[in-house]
Amino acid sequence: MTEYRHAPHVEGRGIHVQDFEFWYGSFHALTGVSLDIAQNKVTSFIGPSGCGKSTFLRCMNRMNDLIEGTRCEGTMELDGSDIYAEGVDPVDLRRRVGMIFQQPNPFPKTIYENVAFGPRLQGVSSKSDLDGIVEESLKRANLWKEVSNQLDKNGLALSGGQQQRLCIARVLAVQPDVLLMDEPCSAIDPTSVQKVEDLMVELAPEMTIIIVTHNMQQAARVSDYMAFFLQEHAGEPAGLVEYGATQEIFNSPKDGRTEDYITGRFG
Amino acid sequence: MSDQPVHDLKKPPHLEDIEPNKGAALDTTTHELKLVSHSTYVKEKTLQYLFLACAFVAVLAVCLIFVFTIWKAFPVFTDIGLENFFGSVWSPSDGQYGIACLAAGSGLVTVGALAIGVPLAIGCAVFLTEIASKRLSGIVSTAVDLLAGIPSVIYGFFGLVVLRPLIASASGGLGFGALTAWLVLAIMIVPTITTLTMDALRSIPMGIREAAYSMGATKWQAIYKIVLPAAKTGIVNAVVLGMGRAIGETMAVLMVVGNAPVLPDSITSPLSTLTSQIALDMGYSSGLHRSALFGMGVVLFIISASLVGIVRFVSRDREAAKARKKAKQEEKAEKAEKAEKAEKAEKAGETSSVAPSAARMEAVPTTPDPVPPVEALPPEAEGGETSAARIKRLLSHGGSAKVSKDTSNKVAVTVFTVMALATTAILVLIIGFVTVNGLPNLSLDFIFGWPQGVNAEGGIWPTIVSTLYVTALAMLICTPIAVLAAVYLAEYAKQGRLVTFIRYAADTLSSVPSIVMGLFGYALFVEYMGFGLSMLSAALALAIMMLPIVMRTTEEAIRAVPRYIRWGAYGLGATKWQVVSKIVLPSAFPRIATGIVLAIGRAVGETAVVLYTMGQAVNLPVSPFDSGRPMTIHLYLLANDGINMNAAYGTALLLVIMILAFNLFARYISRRSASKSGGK
Repeated sequence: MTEYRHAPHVEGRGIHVQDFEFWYGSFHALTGVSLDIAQNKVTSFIGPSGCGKSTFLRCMNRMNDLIEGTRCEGTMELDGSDIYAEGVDPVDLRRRVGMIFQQPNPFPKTIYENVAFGPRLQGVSSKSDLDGIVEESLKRANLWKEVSNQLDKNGLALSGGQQQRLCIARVLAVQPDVLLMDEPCSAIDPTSVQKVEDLMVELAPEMTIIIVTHNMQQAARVSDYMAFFLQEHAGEPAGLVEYGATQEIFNSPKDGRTEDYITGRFG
Repeated sequence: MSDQPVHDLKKPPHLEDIEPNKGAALDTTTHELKLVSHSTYVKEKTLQYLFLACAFVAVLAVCLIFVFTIWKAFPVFTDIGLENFFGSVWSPSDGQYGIACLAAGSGLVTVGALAIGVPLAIGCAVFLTEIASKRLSGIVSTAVDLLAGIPSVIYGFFGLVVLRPLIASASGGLGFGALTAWLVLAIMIVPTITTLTMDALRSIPMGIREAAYSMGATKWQAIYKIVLPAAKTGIVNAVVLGMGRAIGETMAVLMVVGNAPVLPDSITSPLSTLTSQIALDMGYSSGLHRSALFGMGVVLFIISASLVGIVRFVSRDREAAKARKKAKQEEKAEKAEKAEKAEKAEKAGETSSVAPSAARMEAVPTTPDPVPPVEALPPEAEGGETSAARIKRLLSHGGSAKVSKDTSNKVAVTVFTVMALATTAILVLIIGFVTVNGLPNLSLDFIFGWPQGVNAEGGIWPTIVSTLYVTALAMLICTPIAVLAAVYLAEYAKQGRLVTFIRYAADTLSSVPSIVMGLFGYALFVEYMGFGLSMLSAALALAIMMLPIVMRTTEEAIRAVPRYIRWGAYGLGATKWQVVSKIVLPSAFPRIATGIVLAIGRAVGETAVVLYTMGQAVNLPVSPFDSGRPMTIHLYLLANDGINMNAAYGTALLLVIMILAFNLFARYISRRSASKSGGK
């Protein structure tokens, strides 16, 4: 039932999802999701509220494991290995698949300690190594210039947009292969949105980025591929309606429901 | 109306209706706004002042406690002298009233109890908020709640009969002393610290935990690197209040420390504390000796009030910082808005002027681009190495930790789980101990019989009646005042200094050690007001003790009533009092009832407060001026005399059953109302 328009085909590298189902307790939230996500490209998930796009995103680094009573079926592979296979360590998975959240959530620590947190988890302890990682990560997150002389300031003292870039720097410091972004711009000011979008484009050649967004323009600006999710009737599971190259979906949606959403008729 | 001309669009149609020439037939008086009637005004104002008066009872009580204890302690300054009073020899028969050795005892007992209790309590709290599954956390949190409900005399009894012999056989002494007190007190402060720490942990936003997990932190790493440091202030507050509880505890300590007013030379030698010495001596003291006891009460009061003050100061500091930040942000936003407006105005002026001068155009600030130009990507580091490559290289320097993080996580989670289960096991152990030993002694004769011999044989009926009598009386006195005070705080008062002050008084009141409350009750009700050792004196003292508990839960219950329900009632033309009495209080009733029932549980189990306000003589009370002996004191005396341990076990079991029944009933009420309102 899903329309595929020049969708990427993944072999070996990238994310491969086949017939994915997901439940919150007895509520069947997602059904029959199959898609391949290309490595080192930006893929956006769009759809109206409650369509399961964030839920699906959180399945990709097993964040939903932290919610009691959730369960899933189907295949989800990262670089050819099933992330839900028995014995897979979700902790290590999450290091490889980093995540940025809707609400910037710096730790109540200094800017330096925020960024150094991940490397420290991995056993980096030499001061000079940490200094280097912190500096480079902040540079890559385009935050270095603004904070280089106040690294010992509390992360919470930054503005909303700066906080979000600090969170991005924090993730970059552990060099994830995949970066999941759950509506990263919905709680920050417009000038910062611009910076975060630029950042995504810059980072894409080096890591796979998946972004959930409500903003169609943003999806069109930053993503190479686009997936449209929809829950058609309340109480029923949501699914993937259309998936493929962003330009194609945006310019000539095949499914009427996608067109309705893109042209703003609902959602 | 159909023949009316089209309404003038500028006027809403109803205005036209009341124009005299058109609406002659209409009764114009119904359109006039009625003024507030004098009687309604007077009634509402009177009620408001009545509620304010109730709220001030808490303040009054704190002042009275302080004034009366200090008044009774006055000879400490005049006749005993501070040098003697703070000296180290306690020997009232020789005129030596040095409390240093008792204070040292209190300190020693408290420090040890904290050393054992704090890790256990924090472990429990972490387990409950961060680790446990829903079902397991339900069981453990019930256990923690019930542990909080068990009366101190039962803990003392348990320590005396179970722990003391164990320690005696291990250390060779009698088993009385600091070590036994540590174990007993540690268990007693666990519920206080656990509950408050859980509040602190729960207030840490979930997002921070998710962020830590999403970077590959294990549960344990997220807990000790992020969650616990973030909750630091709250945890410190929890420990301070737990400390207050430990310093103020009387009965449990009295029963296990051995009561030797000397500086202890080991943790297994008998000692005495400020609280236990007051409870022990009060009955037969007189003159300067009694003044010294009141002086110790003042010391205890000051300690507990300052602990509350510290907690308030620490949390207020944090709140003030928050408020400041918010104000700053608002100011900023306002400035930005103003600047924007000014700019707009300027621009508007600009477009309206036909030929703006070149100079002026220069002056118009072009919106400065706050976005620094995006750097050349990716920024080159030294040696042509990209940032990403450099991070990767540096990351690879991190050797694997000595202990794998998987192992440390497993160990930590296991430790927390063991702590939580140990706490639950302690509850089961105490209840099991009382049940197994008490059950064979329970019979109708025991419950409904009259004590015989030296009051150690036969039944305990008069003590049951005394307990229920005094509790009911205390509840009747306390509930109306506490509920109305809470109504004032939640509905009427403007949030400001007055409310903060009343809350501070209530917090202080709830921290007053029970033996100090007993001293005060004795000084004011028994002696000064002349009620004698009676149900009424004890009930009044208990009511003051229950007041802050009921006030707090009621205020929380009222605040939890959603605003839109109130708006609905106001929209229908209800007065404030009607909204409060007909809408708010009924909606809040289940939670208020829960608070009252919990307070009743406290009153039933209370010992130190009633020890010198009700008396100890077995009597079946009829009038409020009759004296009596409550079950808790009966148990204390039986356990101490050791003449008939079977009767002690039977009394303990009945007491535990009554208190557990009250606690479970309170849980039932709150669960039922939660499922009613929360059910879909």
